[in-house]
Amino acid sequence: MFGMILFTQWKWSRLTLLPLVVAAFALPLFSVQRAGNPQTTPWEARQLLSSLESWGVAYPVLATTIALFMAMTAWSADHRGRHVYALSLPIPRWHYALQRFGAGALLLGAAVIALWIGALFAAGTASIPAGLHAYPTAIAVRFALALFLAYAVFFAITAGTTRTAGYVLAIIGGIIAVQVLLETAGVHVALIPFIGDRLILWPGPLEIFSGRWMLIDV
Amino acid sequence: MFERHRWAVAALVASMMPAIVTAQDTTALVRRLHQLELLRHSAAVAVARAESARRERLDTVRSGALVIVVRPGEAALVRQASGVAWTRLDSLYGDEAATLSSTPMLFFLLGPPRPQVAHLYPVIADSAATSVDVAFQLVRAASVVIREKADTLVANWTGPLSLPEVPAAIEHARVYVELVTAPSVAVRRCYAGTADACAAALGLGEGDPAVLGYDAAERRALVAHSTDFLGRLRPAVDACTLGSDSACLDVLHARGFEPPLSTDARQSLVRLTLVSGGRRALGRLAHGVSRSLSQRFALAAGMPVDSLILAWRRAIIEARPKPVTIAPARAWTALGWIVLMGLVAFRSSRWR
Repeated sequence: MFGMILFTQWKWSRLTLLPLVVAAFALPLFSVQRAGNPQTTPWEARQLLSSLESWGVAYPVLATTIALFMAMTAWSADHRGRHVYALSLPIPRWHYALQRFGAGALLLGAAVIALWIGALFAAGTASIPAGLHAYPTAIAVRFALALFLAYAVFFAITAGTTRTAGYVLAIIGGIIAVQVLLETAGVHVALIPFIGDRLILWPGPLEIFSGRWMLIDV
Repeated sequence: MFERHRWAVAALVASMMPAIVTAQDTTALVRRLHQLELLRHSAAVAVARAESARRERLDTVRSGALVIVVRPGEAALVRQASGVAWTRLDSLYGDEAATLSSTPMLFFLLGPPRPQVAHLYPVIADSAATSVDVAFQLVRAASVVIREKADTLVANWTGPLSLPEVPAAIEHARVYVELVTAPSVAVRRCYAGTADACAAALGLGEGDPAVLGYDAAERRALVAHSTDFLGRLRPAVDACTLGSDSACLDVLHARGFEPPLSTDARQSLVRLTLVSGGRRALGRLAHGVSRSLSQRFALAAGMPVDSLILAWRRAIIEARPKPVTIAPARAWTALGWIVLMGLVAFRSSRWR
């Protein structure tokens, strides 16, 4: 049964997933464009790091995009068919959801492997100034964790009902509204930064997305 | 008649001699200099007022030692910004910031013609500038003024602005990158922990900076990378690239060169010196004309220059940018969140 779910998810997602996998392979290669300049100057290392830092934003963005797409694809057919197929199966719901989750996660592996190979290739071909090091495996591991985490979050949201999604949106909107009202009333409470910090700083769930995404670094 | 006058003048000079000798006393001299400085300040403010009255009605905004001449319509904005700017300047430069009182500034927004007031240091901001932007411009302009008041040796050494408004952590992280990448033997030895090498890398070494900072191959590379406008140096450059180290030294001495570590690194040392030396540190650093740079740093920081440089190196090493590698604890935390989110999805209310 898992094979059939995997096959159908592959069929539904391949047209979009394949370009994203290619993007994951190409991203590290694009990020080292500035490396290998034969005009070695004292500023080259700094310019290279600054260029890599700019490209670094693309890694979490790509991870989020792929994860969102795969999570939506995993449930879209069930939503359209009002879950009749799933309900007709002689298995508990958690078992079915686990197989959907597993099939999506397996397909995400292709993007991780593509990025790892791209990073290894980029690190191998780029001329890296003395004192800097390439981290192809570390960046691939980090990309994998970010990708699976984003996938799990979006999968949980899309697995729920429209009402659940509404609750999530209402909570986010409520926080923004409270912040605006407090500011209007002259009460300076940094509610959004506080919540943002709890999410982004360790041990918050989105901590893996923060920090430096540098293929080459000190 | 003439002879009589000559004796009269001689007698007058002789009667004033004790007063002249007294005036050479250091304390009296300092007091007179201080009075002179106050008079100069009053004169500058008076000139500003006179110009203001003659040309266009302008207001004067004061905050700490900042004196800013401004159009009445922009006074509220500048008043708000100057408070923030002064707090920042006072914390950056300590007592040296007080010298700004003798240099009134002229603030105006881009767009309308500049107020017709000469002699004032101009501070310009965009017409849509907020008080934060104006405060930034005021700090920047005041930094330039303070730099101009320092003697040339220190001003040239620190670079374009005395102390830019960059958080210390970011500045130190940049310097760390230089410390591991700059093509200089002194920088590599500095990274390994030698105080003398750090001094050479920062341009504070006692001796020929070209020899202290770079080895022969690095000197050759340095010459090879700056081959514009050679002129009479062409033969020496050719000899240098063919392997003559003395030719490389000749070229570098003739053309001049920067120390191996950039102005960011040097400014971070100044910042540390001010922290160590207290509010009067910048004054001791910027005006100790008779001493070498390293002696001035020692005097300003209140500690031997080696200790200061090693403290600086420690701060830089500690600010190493966090690389992409993740600690196991963080990886496990991420995995934990993945499992938790998965469980949320498996326990969804859709089929209940």
